[in-house]
Amino acid sequence: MSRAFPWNRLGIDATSDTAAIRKAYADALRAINVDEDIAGFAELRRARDEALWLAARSQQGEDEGDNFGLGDLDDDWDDDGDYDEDAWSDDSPATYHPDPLESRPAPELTQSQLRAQTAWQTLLGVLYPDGAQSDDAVTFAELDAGRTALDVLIARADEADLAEHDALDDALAELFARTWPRSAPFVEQANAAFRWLEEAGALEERPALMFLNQRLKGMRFHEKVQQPDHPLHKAWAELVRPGRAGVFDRLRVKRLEVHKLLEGVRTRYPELETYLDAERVASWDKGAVLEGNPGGFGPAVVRWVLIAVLVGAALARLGASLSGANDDQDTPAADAAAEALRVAQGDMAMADIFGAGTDMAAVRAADPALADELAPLAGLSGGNAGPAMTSFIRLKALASASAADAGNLAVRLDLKSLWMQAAQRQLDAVCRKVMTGNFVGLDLALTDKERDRERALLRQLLDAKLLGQEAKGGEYRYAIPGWLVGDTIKRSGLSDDTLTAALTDPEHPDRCKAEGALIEAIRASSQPVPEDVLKGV
Amino acid sequence: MLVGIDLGTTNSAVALWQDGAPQLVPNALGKELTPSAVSLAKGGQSWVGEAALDRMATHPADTVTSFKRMMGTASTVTLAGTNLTPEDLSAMVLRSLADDVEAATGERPTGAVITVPAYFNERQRRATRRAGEIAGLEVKRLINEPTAAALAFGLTDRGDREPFLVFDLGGGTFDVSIVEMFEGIVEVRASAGDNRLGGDDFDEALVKLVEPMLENRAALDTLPADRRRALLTLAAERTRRALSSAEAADFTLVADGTPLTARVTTEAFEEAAAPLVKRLRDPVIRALRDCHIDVRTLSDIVLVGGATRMPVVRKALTRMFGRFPNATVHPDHAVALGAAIQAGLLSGGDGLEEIRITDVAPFTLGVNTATRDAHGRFHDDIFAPIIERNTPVPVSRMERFFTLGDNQRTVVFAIYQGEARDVKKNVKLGELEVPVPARPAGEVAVDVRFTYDTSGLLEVDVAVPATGMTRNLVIVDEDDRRAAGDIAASRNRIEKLKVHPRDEAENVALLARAERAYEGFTGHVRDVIGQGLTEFQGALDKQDPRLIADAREGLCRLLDQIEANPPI
Repeated sequence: MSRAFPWNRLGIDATSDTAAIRKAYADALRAINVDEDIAGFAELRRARDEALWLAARSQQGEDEGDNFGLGDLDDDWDDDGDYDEDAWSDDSPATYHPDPLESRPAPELTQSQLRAQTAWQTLLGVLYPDGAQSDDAVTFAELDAGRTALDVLIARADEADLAEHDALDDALAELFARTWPRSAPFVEQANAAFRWLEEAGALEERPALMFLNQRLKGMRFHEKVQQPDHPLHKAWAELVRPGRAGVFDRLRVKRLEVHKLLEGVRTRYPELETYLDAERVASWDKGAVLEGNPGGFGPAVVRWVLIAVLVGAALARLGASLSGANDDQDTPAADAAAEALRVAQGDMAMADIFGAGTDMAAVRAADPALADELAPLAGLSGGNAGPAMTSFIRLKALASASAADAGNLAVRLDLKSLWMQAAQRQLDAVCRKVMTGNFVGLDLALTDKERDRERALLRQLLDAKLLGQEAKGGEYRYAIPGWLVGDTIKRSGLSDDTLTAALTDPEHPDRCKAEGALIEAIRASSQPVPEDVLKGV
Repeated sequence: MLVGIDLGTTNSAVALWQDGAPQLVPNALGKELTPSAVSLAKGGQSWVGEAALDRMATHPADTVTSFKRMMGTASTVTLAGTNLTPEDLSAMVLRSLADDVEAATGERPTGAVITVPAYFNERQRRATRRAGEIAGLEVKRLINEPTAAALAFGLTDRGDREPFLVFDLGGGTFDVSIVEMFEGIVEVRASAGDNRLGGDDFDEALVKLVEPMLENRAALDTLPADRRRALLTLAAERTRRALSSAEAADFTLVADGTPLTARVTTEAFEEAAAPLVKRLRDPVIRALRDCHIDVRTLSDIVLVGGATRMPVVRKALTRMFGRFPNATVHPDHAVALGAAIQAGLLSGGDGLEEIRITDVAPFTLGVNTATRDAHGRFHDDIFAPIIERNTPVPVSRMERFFTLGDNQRTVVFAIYQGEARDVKKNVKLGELEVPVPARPAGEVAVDVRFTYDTSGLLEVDVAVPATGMTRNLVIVDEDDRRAAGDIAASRNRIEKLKVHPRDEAENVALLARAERAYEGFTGHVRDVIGQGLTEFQGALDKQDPRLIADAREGLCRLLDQIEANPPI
């Protein structure tokens, strides 16, 4: 009879007798030389472990899903500075924080365990006032009670055996993580006893500790940065003062340090930003662009401008028009003449768009998805087919950013630059339409040279299969690095105030000029431009 | 002949598989333990073991101990003008042990199984292997100390055993292993440790505690730093031992004829050692977690290593495990005996046919990688594990990685060992560069294969399927190549050193001991020792064996008496 893995490797019939499994494993192990048959050894180990697991399962019955003691590791951690608040909100503390000693019946508990149990309840009471989550800071009386209770628990952990010590360690970490920030004044004390920071950065750092250790480091940073000898102390002192930053403040405090501090706080200890004055932070954030002379600090000063753009506002309209065209198709009147017209119109338009030699068949070969989308447009009558397909493909090219790689993003940017330059020779309204992708009924009046260039670029996107991609519309936000801002100002001839306003407001009268300048600045940049900027522009 | 050697921080021992059992081989002084101490004098005279340890007090600048803690580092020591690496020093101890075996059996051992702490890293293991080669021994296998101890413990009755824990706290390193035995298979389930924690650290804590309490401490301050250190450490070790059997002990030393003393209570010592005791807990928890075993289901706690004799450690253990540990194994002998069993296994020794050992890799091994996050930001130095810690060895695993840049021409893998997500916090073992064809980012795959053998040594293979290019790195390739030349040079250097003839070993050791005692006492006692020394020296000069034996016995008795009841 043939057996299935793992039993075939062990050479025994399926059994739940662990002694037989071990015996079979031992015999098989003695039969091989592990140093010469590494794969065989690995397979044998796997067979043995699986067999033992199957045996344990069949003995237990299938009453409970075995999770190998891993628990719900994955569900507990999110990175936004809060520790799983949503999941917790409608339950009582007892659900999440069972007494770490409860597995033992009360009469068996020693005096010190009983004391620890009371202390645990006290601590729960302090951290969950009225039995519920609270973001209020603890009062002095609560702080006192909590610290005393924690001392009792730590003393208990010190004299307890490993299992109990471990349970207390885990339970406190979980409790403090869930009740942060109310638990903040207790974390250092627990860290001193359980050496939580030693686990920081380890591959297997417990999720609750990953959260708490980051907060602990934040608290320590907060303490240190208030000392006058800390390198970022001046920047910190500046940012905690209320009100906007004045000219004098800007002379006194190094901008580089303020930004280093802000960036550090935001990426590592977001909770510390509440100590800072919001208005002052905002004035420094904005000051990054508003202040003149962006080149003055050299390219090392990276200042980020958050830009909002509307990409593919026309996409929704396009979707509607396409489905309309599809409706036309559905009528069963497609006779042979209409079909011939459709083919001819399609081939002509493709040659016009992608250059001589490209017909519908070539487009289908390069990108079948695009060909399918174009088919209904080719059937439009009254000379509408060509312009419709042109505007459709231009829009698709503009919307290709979401899927394009770095090389094709550059191609796309060249195209947009081409269109913007042509549009800027005309009315502002034309430029605006190009920016939002609204090419329908738009005559860009490209020169012959520009047409040739456009064809070559579009052909590249076609070959990369980017035009048939499903286009994503909607608002897109990205940040422009500071070193690009200087060049953009130079190219646009706008003041930095106006430029910032134009870049942050899609309806701004100088938007066209600003975006055009930004595109040229990016194309001329010798430094690599972040991908999200390339995609967004 | 294949021997098993425990190359310890404080003491070393050698054992043989003989007549179906492991047997320790005594040294020239008839003792099973040889202190891991080396001393040199101008002109190339050398001392190893007991005599060298005694010279620590009289010639601290020319004597060294605890060099195992330097293994795998680039540091060297200079003794009497000779520059020696930790491998050289270890090799001198190994050679002396090989001499003992030759004297006992008439045959010089050619190969050895040497034990290393389970938590020794790759570099430390390579260094140990080199030390063996310098000493003229082919190192057939490196075996983890707790595994060796488990073998010695398990083979006493050969019965099946549910998982038990070996707690090995030596002079300089700390290991924990969880081991199971069934059907003749000795299976290590998990190991963890701290390769910078041992009895030496407790001595240091004791010195720190006592130093400000010493009377007449001005006398100490006038001494050169190395001498002061040596005296304090030696005194700490004596005091620590005394505290094992008493509630309080005197920390005493003599600095240039001035006696210094301070009283230390068990309580004060426990408090000073508390931070060290806390560090004992983490590896135990880690090992238990890794193999999903509840501490309460452990069938036994086996103590190994001299430092487990300390009551402060025993007390902490009893608390940690909620029961008394098993002290039936000889803490200083078990590791060497286990090494001899492994040697017997490798050479097909009688009565070992059924026995097999499987061990685990105590560290996670992997490479550095970089990635871009959702915002396009570049993150470097992320550790990508390939072999997870506590995987059974031997093991061979492959991971596939991809290029990160367009037209990238080479891929460089740095190989790391450790448990931190950030590679900078792990131990770097080596680097490997492989050329790749220029393609867009992410299109070129590179396969990295790690193979970790039963001695705990790593081999890395890198292959680029697109070009068929392969690269192989036996870790620390460069070190090894350099070392090949070095081994011959080291062997030369050591062989040039003069060793006392074996039949004089006892006399040499006694001289060193008497000199140490002379330094250590004052007044009348010192005069008496001086007299004994002169007499013994006189007998040695006359070269009459009977006279020498008598004088030796007299001096021995005198020193025993004085040291048993120190007059201060």
